[in-house]
Amino acid sequence: MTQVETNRRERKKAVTRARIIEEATALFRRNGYQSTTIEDITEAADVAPRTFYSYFDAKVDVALAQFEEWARHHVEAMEARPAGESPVEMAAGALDVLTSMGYVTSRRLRDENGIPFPPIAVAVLLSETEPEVAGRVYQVMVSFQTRMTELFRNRLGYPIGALEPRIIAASMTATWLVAVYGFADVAAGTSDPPSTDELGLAGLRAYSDGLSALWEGRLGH
Amino acid sequence: MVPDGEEHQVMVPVEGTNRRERKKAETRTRIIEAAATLFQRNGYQATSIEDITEMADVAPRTFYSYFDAKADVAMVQLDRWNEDLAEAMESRPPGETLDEMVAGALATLDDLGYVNSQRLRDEDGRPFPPLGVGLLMAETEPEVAGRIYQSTVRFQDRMTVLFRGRFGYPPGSIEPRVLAAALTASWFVAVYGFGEVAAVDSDPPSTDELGLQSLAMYTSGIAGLVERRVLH
Repeated sequence: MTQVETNRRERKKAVTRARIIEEATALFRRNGYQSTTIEDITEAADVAPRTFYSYFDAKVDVALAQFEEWARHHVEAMEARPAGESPVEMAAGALDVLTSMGYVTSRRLRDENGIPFPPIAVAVLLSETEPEVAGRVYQVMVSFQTRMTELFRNRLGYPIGALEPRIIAASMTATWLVAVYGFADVAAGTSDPPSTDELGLAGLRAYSDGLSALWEGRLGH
Repeated sequence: MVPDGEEHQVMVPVEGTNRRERKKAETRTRIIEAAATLFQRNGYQATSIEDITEMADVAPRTFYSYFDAKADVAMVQLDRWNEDLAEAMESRPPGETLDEMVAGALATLDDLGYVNSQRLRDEDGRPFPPLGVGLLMAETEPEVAGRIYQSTVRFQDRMTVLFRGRFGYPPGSIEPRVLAAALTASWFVAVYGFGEVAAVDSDPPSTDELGLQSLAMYTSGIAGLVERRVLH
């Protein structure tokens, strides 16, 4: 087989995989995770049922695919930042890279009625009701945090066993929670909420500059 | 004290129900306590349901009329800790800063009998993490991890509401969520940092100490951890 044929086959496989993810995501959102079957997904994606299993082991894997890819791209973008940057600069730079890859988390998204909505992976939405999906989300979050701990340990020259790199890494996780769960808080009080990237960076700057500024002058309440 | 009357009262149906319910609650507590002791002593993975029922002195099948799986009995403890911590936070007097509230709430949990403030050592003097922390460090099953994630999110939502009220933020502010997520982050540091620190330090701090150290860093700003070292 020639190189051209191999490339074409790889490309076709990637297209099929993306179509399965896209159709599954639409079905999960429309009908719920539980009531969506693998047959529904393959029917919508117009592939044979057994084709599904050459890409994914189970329904939960297709729900997680986007989220795991995003987490992997985020880690790689962080690791590729030049030396000498602070964690806030690294995070901002990594989010720019994700935007250039086509992720929409930097945009203020609006639906057809002009209502703002967050670009949250379907896996995170499903985690509210599906313990199994939530579990995988948690595991992705923990392994993201572990890799960030290693990265900050190396970048900032901390010895093994020092707590500081973990503290910085956990602030990245917290930032991510602020972006995901803070969106609803903010959308409840304003008709033009910031993007999830903006919310996350606001959170990270607060962890960087110190939280005490957030309660100064407000203790009388 | 009703030493004699009690037996007769059992004959009254409603009292009988109460007694049965009391007995059921006692059995449930005994199972939870036995499980806690065994998880603590032998680790979560190495403890079987038979070990638990043996220690609690109940028939193995009795376990299943109270819990569906080993993970459920472990989650009961984590959920209880979470609930007690949330209540302790909500009971703090007004005017306290975030770090004061947390330190006060952890002291309350200490009074309730939680051991997270202690530097725990086994009979050979080796440090080990408190039960919930050990469970979290060891746990790999998605379903248990999922329950942990969901209860973390619920706790964070509750803290967001608390801080919005305490610090007088209007609806639509992101700050209360930023403060609440800092508690989650500190908790992550306590859980996952414990293993890292214990790997190189024969006398590691307690998980409460690790969490409070972490919160102090967020309070003063992690930029302080970075500035001196950023040129590496």
